[in-house]
Amino acid sequence: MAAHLTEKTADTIEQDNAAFDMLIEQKRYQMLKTLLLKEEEQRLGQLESYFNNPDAHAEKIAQVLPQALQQTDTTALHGALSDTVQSCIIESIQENPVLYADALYPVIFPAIKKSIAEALKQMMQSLNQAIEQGFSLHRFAWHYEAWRSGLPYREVVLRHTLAYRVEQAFLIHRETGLLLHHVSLEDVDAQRDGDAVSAMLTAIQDFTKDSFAVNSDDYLDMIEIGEYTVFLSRGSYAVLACVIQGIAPYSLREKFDVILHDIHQQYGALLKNFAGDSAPLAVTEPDLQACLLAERKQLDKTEFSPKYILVPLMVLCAMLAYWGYDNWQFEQRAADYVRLLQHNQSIVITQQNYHSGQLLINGLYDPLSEHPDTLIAQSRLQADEIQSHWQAYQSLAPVFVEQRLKQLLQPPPTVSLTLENNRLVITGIADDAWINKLAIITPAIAGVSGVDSDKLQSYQQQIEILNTQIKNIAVYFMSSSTELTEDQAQKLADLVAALQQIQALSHSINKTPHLLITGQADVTGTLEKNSVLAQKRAAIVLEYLQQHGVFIDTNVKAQLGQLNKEGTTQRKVSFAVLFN
Amino acid sequence: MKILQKKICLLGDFGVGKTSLVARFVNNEYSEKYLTTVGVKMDTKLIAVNDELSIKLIIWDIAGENSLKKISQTYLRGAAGFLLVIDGTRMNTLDGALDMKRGIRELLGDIPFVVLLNKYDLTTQWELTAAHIERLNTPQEQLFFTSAKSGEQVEAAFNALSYVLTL
Repeated sequence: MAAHLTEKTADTIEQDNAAFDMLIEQKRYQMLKTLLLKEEEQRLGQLESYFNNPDAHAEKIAQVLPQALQQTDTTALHGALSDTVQSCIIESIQENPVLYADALYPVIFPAIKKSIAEALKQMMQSLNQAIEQGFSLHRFAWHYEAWRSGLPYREVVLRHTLAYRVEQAFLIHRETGLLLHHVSLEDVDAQRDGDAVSAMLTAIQDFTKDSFAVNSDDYLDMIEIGEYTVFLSRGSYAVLACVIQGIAPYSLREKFDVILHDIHQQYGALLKNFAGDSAPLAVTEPDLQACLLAERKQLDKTEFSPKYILVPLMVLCAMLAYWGYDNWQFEQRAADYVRLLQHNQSIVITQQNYHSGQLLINGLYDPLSEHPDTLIAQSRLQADEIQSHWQAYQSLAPVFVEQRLKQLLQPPPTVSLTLENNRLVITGIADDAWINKLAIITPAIAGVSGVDSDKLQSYQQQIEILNTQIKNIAVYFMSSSTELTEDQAQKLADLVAALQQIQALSHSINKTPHLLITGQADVTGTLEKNSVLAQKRAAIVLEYLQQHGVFIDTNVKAQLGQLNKEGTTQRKVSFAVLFN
Repeated sequence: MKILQKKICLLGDFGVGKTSLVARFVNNEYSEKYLTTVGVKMDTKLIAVNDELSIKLIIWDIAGENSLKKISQTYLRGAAGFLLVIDGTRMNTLDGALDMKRGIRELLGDIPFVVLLNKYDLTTQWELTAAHIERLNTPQEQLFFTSAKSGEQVEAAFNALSYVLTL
């Protein structure tokens, strides 16, 4: 046990010693560390506190930031900053727009001012150009020509402003007709195959020479086609063909000859040895370009002036105004005439219009009225201002139907005809023959729907009526008297009228009336006395009638009175008309 | 690239098909209509020989005549080569062609040429026999049985002449 304890104690002591030694070591290390790294430790402490203090940090970054930015890769920086800067600016403007406006004013205002000034300048220039060019008669004509011919306007202008211009020059190998070199103006449509043109020009020269040349050194010098002229200059090896638009002065020929001569002098060997390769001949380009001459035409400076057009315009206006007024007047007069025609019931206008200063009128008229052409005299129109075509028809207007009836029926003066609601109303007296005619004719007349002849009487009827009236007349006398009292004489006046009518009517029926006067007396007294009394009474009445213009054959008869139904006596004179 | 221009002429009797051959070769067109050529008609065609060289043919299609004497000989001046066209359906066009060939030889010397026995599509009316063709005394490679209508051998004939012209 002791041994065990001792062992244990010895272990513990050993352990304690080791711990002690370690402690000592640690102390020494600390001391050494303190001795060696005291300064560094302090600086590390400072750095730590620096990083933990944002203010101090910011201060340091602020010092290096400009330099750092300068050294940064700008593309990367732009990429990194763009979003942030963009949103910063947007936010800032939203917060205070005035600030930005003020800041940008010095930049934007001059820019806007400059831009507006430029725009105005351009506008003024184009305006000036438009004024200068717009009112030129030439330009107007050229625009028209361009439109008509379908050529570009530029080409038309060139054609008119240039006396001539050489548009193309062909340098052609004389022997083979092959094209050595060709130049043309930029705006010339040189679509045609220069090689074919060159060959053709050669063939044309050959053809004309073969066909027309008298001497072996006669050649075709010039070709004219439309407004183009081709001048052909001939050298030992090459032909120069220049295509000229416009009027080519002959002096050009000399210039071309000189140029061709120069070409021969300079490039004679090239031309001579030509075997199909034209590339080396491109050296002749400047010489051929020198052929492309042009001369401007002296333009007629007549510019558009309003006075050139004003006078004809005024004359035209005056003519138009006069023509318009004249036409208006004519139409007024024509309208008056048409109204005159329309006023006439028998005239129907079916068509009317105006043509070349004439009124063309077609229509219908009833021959019972006057012819429409006779109305021209009443209008303000001249006969030659009207072309009319009238056709006759029967008008159903009452006035014309009535006229037609009268014409056809020829009523006697004792009859009157009127038309009431298309019905023919006849009043008066007529003989039987006319009444029969009426019955036959009237239904055939257009515009008459019926006949009212209740008030029409024949002579016979009228005579009978009058006779009845006469028979009803009786003149009464006092007993034993032959005196005609005043009131009885009154009745005789009616009798006279009736008798005179009968007398007149009798002529119409070719008969002679006889008047029978019957005097009567009552039965009081002697027969003889009464007979005389009756005779006398009839004679007095007859005398009265004769005195009042009744001259009819008269028979006088005396009768003895009778008692009438009432039992009164008949002291009277009565009448009857008889026809033989 | 270099471009060589060469003038070539088409010769032959009336209606042997010279203009039709040119139309077929240049524009690849054909029309049944017969239009007689008056004087001369020009066409051009660029043929690429190889990468460095092209040849521009200036083709003079000269109005048909049955004898060279009647042709304006000035049209032939400067020609680098010619195509002699014979109508295979008309025997008599062969004699004219032979005459012309002789004449050109005298006029222009030994310039390259090809012979086109044209209208080869009209087989039923064909008249030329091997014996006739022998009279032409022309190497086989310069003889072409052509048809402007079908286009057969037309390009080959022109191309063959072009090739010879580059040599």
